[in-house]
Amino acid sequence: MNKKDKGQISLEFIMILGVFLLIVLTLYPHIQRENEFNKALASAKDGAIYATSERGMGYACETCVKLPSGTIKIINMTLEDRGIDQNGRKAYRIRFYISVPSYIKDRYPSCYNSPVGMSIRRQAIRYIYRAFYGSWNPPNPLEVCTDRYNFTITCSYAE
Amino acid sequence: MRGQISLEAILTVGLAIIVFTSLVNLATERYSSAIELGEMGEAKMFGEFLAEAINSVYSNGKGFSIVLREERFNLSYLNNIGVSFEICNSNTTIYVIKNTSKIGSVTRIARVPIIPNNIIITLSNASEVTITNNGTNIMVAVGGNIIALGCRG
Repeated sequence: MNKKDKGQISLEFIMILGVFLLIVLTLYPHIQRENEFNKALASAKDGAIYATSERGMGYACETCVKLPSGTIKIINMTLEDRGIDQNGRKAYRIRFYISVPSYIKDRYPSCYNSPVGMSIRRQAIRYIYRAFYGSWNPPNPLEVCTDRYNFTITCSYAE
Repeated sequence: MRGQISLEAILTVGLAIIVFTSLVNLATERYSSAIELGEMGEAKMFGEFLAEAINSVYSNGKGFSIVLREERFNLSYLNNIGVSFEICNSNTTIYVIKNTSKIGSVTRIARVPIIPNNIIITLSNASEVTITNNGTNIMVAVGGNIIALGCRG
């Protein structure tokens, strides 16, 4: 190979790279939006799993209502579109369907206000906040805002 | 031509690094949660061991004694993972207290019920826990302050 030919790349490669870059740049806002959304959902799920696991083992915070240990499981997770919030962010409510022992269901008919529900809501919000802002202490324990989204958490008992 | 690397290889490695670093953050968070939950489970298990031993000593009467040795009840390990126990005589409960600083929370408490309400804690130099029924009280001799009397929660 001639010395002048060294360190060169083919025109085809430059063209492919160019097209690839063009596609990436065009799709970048969409990718970023989806990434933000998926990151929030994954974090919310992690937080909810943590909360159900600790509640299942019978753990609670110092000031929280303590419950006996039992099998608590997340059965499903759904998203509810709540339109646009006052700051122009897309608002979603993440709903966790959980299965709890009957003594919890009987004592707390509403999952939202039950100690397990409160733990799930709190931990899911904390985990989302942690994923985006690096801190475990969200200013509002009931909702968390990212650049484009506003998330609130709720729960229902699975039948 | 020696010591050279193709542009394709550089691009591939670069892309792999970007993908890898974006996954690391989520994986680290999950790892911390899993570790914390595992330690909470262990702490609860140790609480159940302790409750079981106290109940056995109580039900077997005067002079009966159980020693929870290091391989069964490792005090230094429990100390390292931020676990302590409080025995509450008035509501016959052992509170398992776990510091969960890895995931930003301060303290988590679980309850384990026990039968007796006449437990006294004494300090010993041993790295094991000795539980004795002296006919009047259940004496728990422990090295360090990992088990104390108290009614938190």
